[in-house]
Amino acid sequence: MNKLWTAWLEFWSHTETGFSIAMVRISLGLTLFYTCASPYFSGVWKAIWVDQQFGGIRPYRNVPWFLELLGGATPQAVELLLWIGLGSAIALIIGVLGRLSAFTGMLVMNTIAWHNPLATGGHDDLIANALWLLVFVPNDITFSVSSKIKTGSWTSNTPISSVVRRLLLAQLIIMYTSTGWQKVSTHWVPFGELDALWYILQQPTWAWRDHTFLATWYSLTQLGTLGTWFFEVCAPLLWVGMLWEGTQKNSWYAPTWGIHLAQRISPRVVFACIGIPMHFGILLTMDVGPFSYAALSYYWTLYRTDIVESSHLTSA
Amino acid sequence: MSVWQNLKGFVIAIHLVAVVLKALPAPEGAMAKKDWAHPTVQAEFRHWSSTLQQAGIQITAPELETQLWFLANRVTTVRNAALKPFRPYYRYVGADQNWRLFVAPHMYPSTLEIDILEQAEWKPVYRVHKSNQWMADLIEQGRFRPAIFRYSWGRYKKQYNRFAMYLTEQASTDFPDASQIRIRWWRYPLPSHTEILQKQEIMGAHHTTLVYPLVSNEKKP
Repeated sequence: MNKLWTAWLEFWSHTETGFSIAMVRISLGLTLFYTCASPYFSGVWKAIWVDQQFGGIRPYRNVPWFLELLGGATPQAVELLLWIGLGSAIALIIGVLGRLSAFTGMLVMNTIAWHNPLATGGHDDLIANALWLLVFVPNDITFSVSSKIKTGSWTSNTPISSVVRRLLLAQLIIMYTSTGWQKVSTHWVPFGELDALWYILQQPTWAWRDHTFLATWYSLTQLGTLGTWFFEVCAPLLWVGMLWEGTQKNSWYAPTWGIHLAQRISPRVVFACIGIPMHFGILLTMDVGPFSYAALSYYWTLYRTDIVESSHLTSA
Repeated sequence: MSVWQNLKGFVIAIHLVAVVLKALPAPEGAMAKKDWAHPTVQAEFRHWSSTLQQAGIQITAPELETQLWFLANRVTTVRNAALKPFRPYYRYVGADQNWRLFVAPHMYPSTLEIDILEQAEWKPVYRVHKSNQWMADLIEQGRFRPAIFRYSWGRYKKQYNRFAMYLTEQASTDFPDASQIRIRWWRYPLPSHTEILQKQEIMGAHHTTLVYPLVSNEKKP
C-alpha cells in the first residue's frame, strides 16, 4: 500500500514547460469570451437571466450567491456578471492575473449554469471544470503579458507542475467516457440500427439547418454513429496507451506488443485525429452552444511537453 | 515524503473520486414514470427486449421496464448517498459533471410554431429553419435552445406558459394590428432515411396550444 501511495505521489510530482497550459488558457479565454459575448451582444441575456419584473421570461426567487452579491436578477447585476466574464476572458487570452481570472471566470460560469437551469448545458460545466483547475497553476507563466512584464520575454521556460494538465486530460476522458457509457440506446450500440446520428441531425431544436439531404449519405451517418460510440466508450484506453507508450520495459501492466504498438501509433495522435474532426463535425451541423470550443480547448493537454524534472521522493 | 506532498496527493485523489462518482452513468433527472411512458423510451424497451430475446433471455418489454425501474431506484438511492458529501464541491466550484449528451435521439420531437391573428386570419410569424422569423434571435440562440427543447415536454408546462406570456408581451409591441397570438408545438415522428428518399408524408399533430389576446401598448390604459 505504501509503495502504491509513493508511486501515486511520484506521478503527481512531475514538472513541465508551461506551453500546454498556456494554450488551454488562451483557448478557454476565447471560449469564455464567446459564451458571455454571444447572449450579451445579441441582446437575449435579459430574457434569459433577468427577473420577470425587469423584462425577463421568468421570476427568480433564489439566485446563486455570486449574482446575489452583485444585486440579484436585475439587468444591472446580470450585465455586470457578463462583463466580469468578458473581463476574465480577455485577461486569460492576453495572460494577466492568470489564477484570479480563471477563478472569476469559473464563478461566472458556475453562476450562469445554476441561475437558469433551463438554459444551460454540458458546455457550461466543461468550461467551469477547466477554469477551476487553472486556478491551481501559474497558467500565465508563458505566452502572456505577465511573462513579458516579469522576464522581458513573451515566453518562458520556467517549469510548472504537471498536475493540472494531467487533471484536465483526465476531465476530458471522464466526459467522453461518461457520455459514451450512457449511450445504451439501440440507436447507438453497434448491434443496433446505428441510426442515432441520422436522427439527431434531424432534430429541429439543435440542427443548424434541415439535414434531410443526408438521406442519400445515410451509411456515412451510420459510420459516424459507430465511430462516435467507439471513441467515447473506449476513451479510457487513451490512459492505457499513454502508459504503454511511456514504458521502457515490459511488465504485468505493459506487454511487449502493447509497448511497441503504442510507441508506433502514438495514442495521443490517434485520439486527436478522431476527436478533433468529430468536434468540427458538431460545429458544422448543430448549435449546441460553445461545447465543441470548450472540448477542443482541452485537446492542448495532449501535446507532449518536456518533463523538466521529477522530484525524488523517499519513503517515510 | 513531505506533508505538503502527501496533502497534495490526497487532495488530487479526493477531486478525482468526486468527479468520477458524479460522472458515473445514472438515471439522474429521468426518474419519472411520465417520462418512461414517452413513446421514445417505450420504443427503447421494445427494441431491447427483442434484442435480449434473440440472445436467449426471455423478457418482455413491460418486464424489462419493471426491472429497470427497480434497479434505477436502487442506483439512485446509493448514488445520492455517495454524492452527498461532495454536493457543495459540485455546487460552488466548477466540478459538476453532467454528461448525458445525446444519449438517445428524441424520436418524437416538437417544433415551435407561433402565429398571430390579423384580420381574422392566422399568419405564421415563427417557423424553425426559415429565415427572418420573429423572435428567432432568442429562440435559436445557442444559449436558449436547451430551454426550447425542454418547454415542449409536459413536465415543463409551467415554464412554457411563462414563455408564452413573454412572447405575448413582445407581440403586443411588435404586431399592433394583431388581436391574438397562438403558440403551439408540432410533434411528429422523425422520418427514417428511407421515408425521406421515398418522399413519404410525415404525419404529426399539434399539442399544448396556447392562445392569448394581444393588447397593443397604444391601447393599454
